Amino acid sequence: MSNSSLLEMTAAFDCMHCGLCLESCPTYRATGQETQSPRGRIALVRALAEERLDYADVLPSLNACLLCRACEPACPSRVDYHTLVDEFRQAKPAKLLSWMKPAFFALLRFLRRCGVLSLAERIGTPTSRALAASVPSQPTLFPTHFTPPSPQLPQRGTVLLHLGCVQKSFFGDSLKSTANLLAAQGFQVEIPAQPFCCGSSHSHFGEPEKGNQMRTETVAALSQSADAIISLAAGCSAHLQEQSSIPVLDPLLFLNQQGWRTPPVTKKLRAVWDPPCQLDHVLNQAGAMRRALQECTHLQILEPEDAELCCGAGGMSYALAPEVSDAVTQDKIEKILRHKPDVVLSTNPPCRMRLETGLRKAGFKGEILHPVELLTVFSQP
Amino acid sequence: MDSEKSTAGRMKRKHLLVDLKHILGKAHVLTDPGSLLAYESDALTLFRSRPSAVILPKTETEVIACAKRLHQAQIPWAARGAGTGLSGGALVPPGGVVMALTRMNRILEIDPVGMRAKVQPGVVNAALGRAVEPYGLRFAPDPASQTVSTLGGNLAENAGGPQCFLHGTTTNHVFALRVVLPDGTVEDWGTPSGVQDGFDLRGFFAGSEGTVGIAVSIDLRLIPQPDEVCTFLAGYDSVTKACEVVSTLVAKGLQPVALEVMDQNAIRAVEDSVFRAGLPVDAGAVLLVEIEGSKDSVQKEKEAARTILQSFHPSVFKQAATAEERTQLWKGRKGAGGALGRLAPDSYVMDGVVPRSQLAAIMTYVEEVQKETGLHVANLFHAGDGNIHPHFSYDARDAEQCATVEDAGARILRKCLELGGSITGEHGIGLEKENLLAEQYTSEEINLMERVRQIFNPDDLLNPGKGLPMKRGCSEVFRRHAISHG
Repeated sequence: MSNSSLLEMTAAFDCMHCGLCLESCPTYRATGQETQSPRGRIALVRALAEERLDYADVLPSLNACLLCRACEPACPSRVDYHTLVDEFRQAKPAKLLSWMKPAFFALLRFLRRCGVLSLAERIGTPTSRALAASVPSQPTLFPTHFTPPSPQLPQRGTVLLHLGCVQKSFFGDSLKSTANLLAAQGFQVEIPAQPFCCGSSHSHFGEPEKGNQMRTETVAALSQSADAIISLAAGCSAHLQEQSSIPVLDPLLFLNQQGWRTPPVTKKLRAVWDPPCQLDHVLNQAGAMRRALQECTHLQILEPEDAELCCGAGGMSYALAPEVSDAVTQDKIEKILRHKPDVVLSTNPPCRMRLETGLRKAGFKGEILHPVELLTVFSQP
Repeated sequence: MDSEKSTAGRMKRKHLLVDLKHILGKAHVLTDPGSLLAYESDALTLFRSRPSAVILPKTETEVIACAKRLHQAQIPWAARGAGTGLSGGALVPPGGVVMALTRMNRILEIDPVGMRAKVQPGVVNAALGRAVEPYGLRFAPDPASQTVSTLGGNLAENAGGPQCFLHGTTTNHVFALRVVLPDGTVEDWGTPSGVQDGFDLRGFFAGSEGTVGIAVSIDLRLIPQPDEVCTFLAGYDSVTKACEVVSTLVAKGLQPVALEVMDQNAIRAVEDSVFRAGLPVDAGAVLLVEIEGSKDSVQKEKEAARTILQSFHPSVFKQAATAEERTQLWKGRKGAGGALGRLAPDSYVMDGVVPRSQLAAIMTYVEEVQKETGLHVANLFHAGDGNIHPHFSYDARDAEQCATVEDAGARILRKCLELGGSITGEHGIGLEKENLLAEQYTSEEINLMERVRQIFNPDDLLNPGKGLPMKRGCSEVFRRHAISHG
């Protein structure tokens, strides 16, 4: 990226260095470092534009941004922070993006099953180690020829199921549970042929044009007439919702809006839910999701202290800046474990993977699930 | 000879860094160009100076070890909290080391009965507030930066805030502290009970701008939350009129907890920001009045205040109906400085004091200066204390504008002195005003202060050049405004 195009980034010049964003930033909170704060990152980009720093000096700090966007509502100057980061990253798109193919995920599943990943978690580069550690211990693939059950009559409507790359490759069981749950609640579930990935990561890690194109293709594939697109990934939902004319919702949020036909029953459990940043800071649905969780599980859903802080996943940031991400995750895990949970809930796959990595390392023996699985796995007949 | 010297200097520096890394761990000694740039200024970007290293200790032991090592190396250094200071207080001259205390952020003890808390210096002001709220307590000093600024920084600068009109600044809320002196020795000043015997070194420390020592633990005074709070918002056609109302309120013996004025430019910036508070954008100025206390006393004061506020024919008059409305008003007031960022790339916040009766006079002068310079100025101030904060918008890339802004600031502060006031209310002297100090005090007075400081900081290596004019005319070592390249 040329410095002149950086200079056009007015965002860097809207910031007046007041620092009111600092405490909203998970990486600043975890490290105490100015370079790991929104204000610090903006100062670095501005210094780059002013030719006071080189690109390489700025990169580590910008790589470590989790793009949780919690700083944006804290900014009195309304700095368009995420655009600044997105644009900065265009100069050097993350290499990982080109690996986001079905074959790579299949390889990771295979390596996890045969135990090679446990080894890879201990050797290799920090990035490869973080990546290896993030693959769930029991990944399940969503079958290509899955036929959703017929809706319980009378039918109340139709929904389109968005699969999503990570969701489909690692958490196929959650997708199956979702289809079954929606059908049992009276919805026709359609699973149209769709691109493997919605392009969200591409948009935020340096390839926005490609990301937008992938989104256009995904939205086109999910354009049948329906009540909603159902997605188990808050990150995908936020990305798709920007373009989709129909709501893109988490299944529980959707069912809670529609009203439960037969309220599900769950065991008495201590459940902690950590709201994903995309749901909280981008879609503004954390409150609605919280209510939905309480109502459908009849559990007191606990949240970690400072729940609004990111878990350290940040899409694929955890692999690009593992040290900073580790500090953020460690803090989150401590706060989750303070509740002594039986089960930890997450509604976004990268967060779920990140939490599983951290929780297992801390010796947590319970389940880490999307809440939709809580309703099926533990439901009492 | 020169090259030999510089080789020796490099070696010395290398050894120092090796030792600091040994004390703190590699991850907490930063020397990469990006990190150094990020610590080149605090929230007053008019002054910049890149340190040669940034160190982030986590414990008292580490602070002591670092201080001893820095003392041995005779390297200038300074402590920094969140970097929200507004007088360049956390900058070091080239070659110096910044000690960021953000990782020392534990609340060590809350004593609800004794109404006190013991904290590390990196604890954020508002975090302490949240922690003591369940006990029905609060920490009174409330600088606009309180959601992010650290208590160590608040203490070093003797920070104020809107509520300090009634409750006093930070120094009134500190019982005791443990201080690490520049050579690494440790002193305990004050007593946890709040009773001071002997010389009040605790009081001396508050507002010493990080030039006396580093407070590694601080015993703070907490006060009960009030039974009742009432907040009025009144819009007037001019700042002068709002100032007149303030004088009248105080003259009639009312004791509001806060009396804040914002002019039209400030109102518009707030209303255009995320802190939109429903302020009247057409009013020349708004006055925020907050009254707190027991139910009875608030009821009485409230009615008296209402009568006075209304007798000046406000264009808008309302009372915050809910706690949310009240919070929104204060968020607007406290976010106003930041909200001005949308108007220009940089902003210079001034801090001066005049006797309350001279508020209208100083505001007229600010307006004159504004007209002469042609720069955008917004005013928000703690009217109860006569503490003004004109905010000048400018572009730091324009050297001429920088000079104009700095000159305008100095002229306004001289006027404050002329009107019987002071060159700082709550931001400190820092780098910003050390030259003006000589206009407020005689050289004998400054020498006396210098001698007192030398008892604790004899080599002037801890935060050199702050608070008092630098000797040897070396204040030029701090690059002023102009952004140098490279």
